[in-house]
Amino acid sequence: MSGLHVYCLTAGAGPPVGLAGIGGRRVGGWSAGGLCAWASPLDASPAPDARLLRVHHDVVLTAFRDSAVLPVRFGQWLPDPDALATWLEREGERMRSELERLRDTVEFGVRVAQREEEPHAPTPPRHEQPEPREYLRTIARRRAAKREGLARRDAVVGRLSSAVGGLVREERVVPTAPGDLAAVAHLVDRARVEPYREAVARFFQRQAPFCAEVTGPWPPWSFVA
Amino acid sequence: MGDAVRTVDPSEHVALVDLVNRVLDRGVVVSGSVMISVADVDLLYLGLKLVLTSTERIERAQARAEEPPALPPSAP
Repeated sequence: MSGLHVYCLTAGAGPPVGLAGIGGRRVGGWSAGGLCAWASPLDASPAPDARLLRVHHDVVLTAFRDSAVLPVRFGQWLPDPDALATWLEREGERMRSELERLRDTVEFGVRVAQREEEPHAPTPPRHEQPEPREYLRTIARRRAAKREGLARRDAVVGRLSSAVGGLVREERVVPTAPGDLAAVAHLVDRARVEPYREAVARFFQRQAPFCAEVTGPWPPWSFVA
Repeated sequence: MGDAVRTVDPSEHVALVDLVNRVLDRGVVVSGSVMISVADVDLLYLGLKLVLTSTERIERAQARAEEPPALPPSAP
């Protein structure tokens, strides 16, 4: 019997007929413990690449459109349906509680960047030997610039949290991509998506030179316990 | 939204960085294994390796930037 690659968990809703997943394999529903796991039969755990991540993401999005969903991390492969059923029975109560907590919520990602490069103080070319006093001033300037950069980042994230706080259930600081100043994930009630988007837009219109890329609505990837 | 904010709907387009940050790093863990650690060499593995290399380069560059400039050959 083939193993199973698992995409997500729902409270009972199964995948639509004909939904294809990784490798073109049918996505089926395996139910136990009051949960339904969306999974595809695969002989081995698939090695991740960009295309397969998108397929996994698309299957989770399909579930997310119609029901509360707990996304499952890519690479979660079980050797047979019995192993999946055992896990669902064991973790059913905890997962059902998570589904209830995250019901009718969506995730937004906010990546904050700075529009223009800050002007840097000119530094002498490496081959020139600075005078001792200038040497100490250079160190002091660099340390001050670093402190100021970190303070600006913390300040903008703090102001953003305050600006959208009433519209956000939970916030997570997430790893930044190269070039980004900060990145956060917000858990937002579905009913508050538009007010949230408007609040974020209003906030960044007053925060030059900072700008943001807002992605969402996502399934609540960053908020699953 | 204004120019200060760009919005992206993940059902229409998603950047690889956002996808990797979520699909590979978050979500329910069923089997307890982390696939990336046993992956064969493939596009994503190579991509992550490039990111790691890039991070190291950034860290080296930061370390160089924080190095005190060379002392003068003789203090007055």
